[in-house]
Amino acid sequence: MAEPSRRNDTDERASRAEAALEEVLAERNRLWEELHRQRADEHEAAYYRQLYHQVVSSRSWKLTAPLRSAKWFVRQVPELARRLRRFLSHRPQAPR
Amino acid sequence: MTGIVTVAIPVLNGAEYLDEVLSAVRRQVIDAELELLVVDSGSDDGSLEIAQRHQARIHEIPKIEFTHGGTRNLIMELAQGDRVAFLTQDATPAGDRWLASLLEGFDAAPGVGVVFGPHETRPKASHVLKAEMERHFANWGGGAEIDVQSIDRSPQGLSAYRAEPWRFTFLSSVNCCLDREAWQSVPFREVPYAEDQLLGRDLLEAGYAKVFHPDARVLHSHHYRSFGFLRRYFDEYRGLREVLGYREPAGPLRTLRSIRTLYRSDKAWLRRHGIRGARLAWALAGSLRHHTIRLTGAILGSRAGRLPPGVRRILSLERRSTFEPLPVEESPLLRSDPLVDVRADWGWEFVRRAYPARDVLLDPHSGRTRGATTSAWIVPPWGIGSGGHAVIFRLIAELERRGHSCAIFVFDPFGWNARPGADLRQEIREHFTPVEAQVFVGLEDFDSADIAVATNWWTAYPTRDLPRCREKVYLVQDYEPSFYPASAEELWTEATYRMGYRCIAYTPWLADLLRDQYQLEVAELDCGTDLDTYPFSDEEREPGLIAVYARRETPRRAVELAFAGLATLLERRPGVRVVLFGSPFPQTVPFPCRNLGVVPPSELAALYRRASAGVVFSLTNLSLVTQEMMASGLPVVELDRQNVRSVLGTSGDLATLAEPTPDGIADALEAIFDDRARAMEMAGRARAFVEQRTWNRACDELEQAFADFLASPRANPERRSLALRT
Repeated sequence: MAEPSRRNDTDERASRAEAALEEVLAERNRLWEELHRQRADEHEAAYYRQLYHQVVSSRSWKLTAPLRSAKWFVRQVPELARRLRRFLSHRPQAPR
Repeated sequence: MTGIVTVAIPVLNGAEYLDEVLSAVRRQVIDAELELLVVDSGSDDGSLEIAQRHQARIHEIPKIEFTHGGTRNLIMELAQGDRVAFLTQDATPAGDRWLASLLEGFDAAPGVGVVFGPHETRPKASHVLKAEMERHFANWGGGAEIDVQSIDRSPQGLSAYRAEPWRFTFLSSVNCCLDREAWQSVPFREVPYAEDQLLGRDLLEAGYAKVFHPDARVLHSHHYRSFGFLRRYFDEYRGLREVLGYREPAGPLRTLRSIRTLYRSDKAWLRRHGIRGARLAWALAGSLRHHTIRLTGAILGSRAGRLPPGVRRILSLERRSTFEPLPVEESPLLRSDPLVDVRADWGWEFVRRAYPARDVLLDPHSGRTRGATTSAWIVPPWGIGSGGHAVIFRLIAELERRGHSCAIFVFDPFGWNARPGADLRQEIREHFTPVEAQVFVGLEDFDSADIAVATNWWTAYPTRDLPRCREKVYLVQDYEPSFYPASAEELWTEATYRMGYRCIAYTPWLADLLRDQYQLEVAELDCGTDLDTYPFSDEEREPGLIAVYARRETPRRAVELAFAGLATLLERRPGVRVVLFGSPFPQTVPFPCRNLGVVPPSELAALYRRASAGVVFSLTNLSLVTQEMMASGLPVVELDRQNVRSVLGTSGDLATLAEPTPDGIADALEAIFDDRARAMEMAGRARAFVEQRTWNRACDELEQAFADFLASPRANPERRSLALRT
C-alpha cells in the first residue's frame, strides 16, 4: 500500500511544480510583452519629441512667430484691461 | 626612460623669446639625457649667442635653404635622440613637466608616432586669442585629457575621418615630439608650409597613432595690429591653399553666420570669466573686429591665386607676391571622385560583417515545449500589398490568438523606411492584419525570444547572431537564390542556407529542395487563403475575359512568356479580352488590353469572379495569387513544372498546366474556353483544395514546427554545418 501512495505524492508534487512553472512562464511572457510595449512607447515619444523640435525650429515657425504673439496678445486684452482697471482704482477686486 | 631626448628649435632672429624658451627647456625634469639642438638660418640679432649660453648644439644653414619641412628633416637627421621634441623660437614650455608629458604620450596607445600639446597664449594676448586657443584645443580630450587619434579603417571609421579630417590630422610643429622610427618611415614633406599638417595626415594614414597631451603646454601667441593680423592670416591660408588645396568657405550669409558663431562663443567665454557690462561690450567689439579680419584674411589668402601679385605683396606679412600651388600628393583616403559616392551606410555592410561564417547562436535549454512562446520576427521593409508580408503578419496574428507573444523587428539595411515603429504597426493593422505585436525599426531593441524567425535572406544574417534565443527558424517563402543572376546576391543568399537554421518552407517542392540540396531540417507549411475576401462564384462568367497576373518586375512570374502565349491566342481566337493586374508600372504589350495596376483585394476578387480564365506563372514557389484565383472559382492556367505539380498535381486536377511555350499557353487557355463544364469542375475541386488550407491550419503547422524544433534542442549549439567547415 505504501508504494502507490508515494507515487501519488510524487505525481502531485510534479503536477504542482508543473503548474508553478506554467505560471512563471506566463508571467515571463507578460513581462516580455510589457518590455516591448514600454520600449515601443519610448520610441514613439522620442519620435514625436523630435518632430516637435523640427517644427519649432523651422524657419516657417519662426517667421510666423509674430502672428502667434499677436494672437496671444489679442486674447490677453480683456485680462489686461481688467488688471489696468484694478490698478487705476487702487482697490482689491471683490471676491465673486 | 633612459637614452637621449632631443629638443630641437629652428631659429631665425628669435632673440626676443629665445632665452626664455631655452631656459624653460633646461628646467625640464626627465630621466633621460637632454640634447638641445638649434638650427639657425642666418640670425643676426644675437640668437646664436643666447643658444651658446644655454649649451645648445648649433647647426647653421643658409637662409635660402630653410623650408619648414626640409629643415625639420635635417633636424631629425642631426638629432641624437630617438624622440625629438620640436619647439619654435617663441614657444616657451609652460612648466618643467612639458617634455615629460610629451614623452608620456607615447605610452598612451600602441604605435604612437607623434605627441603634441596645447598652446597657451602669453599673458598680454587679447581675450579673442585666449578663447580661440581654448576652443581649438578643446577638440582633443576636451583640452583636459589625453586623447589618441588614429584612423579606424572600417567604413564608419573612414567616414568619420572624411567628415572631419582636421580633427584627426591636426598637428603643430610649434609643440610636438616625433618618434624617430615613425619619422624614418614617414618623414616631413619638403614643403614650405603646412609641413606639420601633412605629417599628421601621413602618419595617421600610414597606421601610426597621434596623441594629444594636455599637460605638454607651451606659451605661444602673436600680437599684431589689425592689418598685421589680416596679413598673417593671408599668408597662413595662402600656404594652406598652396600645399593642401584648402579653400576657406565663403559667401555673404555663410561668412556672416561664421562671424556670429565665433562672436557668440567669445561672449560665452567672456561671461564665464566674469566680464560684464561696458567691459563686455568693449571686448565683444574687439571680437567682432578680429573675426571679421581673420575671415577676410582666410578668404583672401585661400583665393590668393585670383589676386594680382601687387595686391598679394601688400596683403602678405612676408612681403611675398607669389602664389605657387605645390603638387602635393592627394590623400587616397580623403580623395573625392565625382563618380564615387563613399558611404559608411553601404547597404551590404551587414553581409560583410557577418563573416567569418558561423552558425546560428543559440542558448542551451531543456527542450520544454508546453505553454505559450515568445517569438521575434525579423522582417524586411514592405510595401502595401506585399504578399510575403501578408503571410507573415497573418501567421503572427494567428499565433497571438493562441496566446503566444510576438514582436516584429524591421531590418532595413538600405534605409528604405523612414517611419517610426508605431506608424508601421498602424500600417500593418490597417492594410494587412490587426496584430498586437509591437514593431521596432532595427534590432537595437531586441532583448530575447524563445524563437527568432528570419523571414528573407537578408534577415537571416542579423538573426543568426541575436542573443538569448532558444531556437532560430528560417521561414523560407521562396527559393531566393533563383531571384538573382550569377551575382554576389546569389552567393550571399545561398550562404544563408548554411547557417544552421531550422527551416519552415511553404511548399513540398521548396522543402524537398532545401533538404536535398542543403541537407536542412525542414517543416512544411501550407499557406492559407483569405476565403472571405475571395468568395467562390460559380455564376456565369464573361466569355473570353482573362485575368493575368502581370507583375513584370518580379521575373519569376514569367510575364513576357504569358504575353507571348496570349498574343498567340489572340491570333487564333477572336473575342478574347485581357485584363492585367499586379504591377504599378505601365506595360509594353503586343496586343490591346486593360491594365488595372495594383488594386485592392476586393477589386481583384470582383475580377476573379467575372473572368473566364486566370493566368499566373510560378517559376519557383507557387504564387499566392494562384490560390486566390482558385478560391474564387476561376479556372487557372499555370506552368507545367515540378514546383507547380508538387502542389497542384497533374494538369486538369486543380489547374490547367501549360507547356512553357506560346503555343502551349494558348492551347491551355483554349482548352478552358472550349470545355467550360470541365473547367468549372476543375474550379470546384480547386476551391475545395483551397478551403482545406485555412490560416488556422497554417498556424497549426507553424505551432507544431516550433514545438518540434524546441523539443529537440541542438546537441551542440556551436556546431558548424559541413559546408561551412569546408
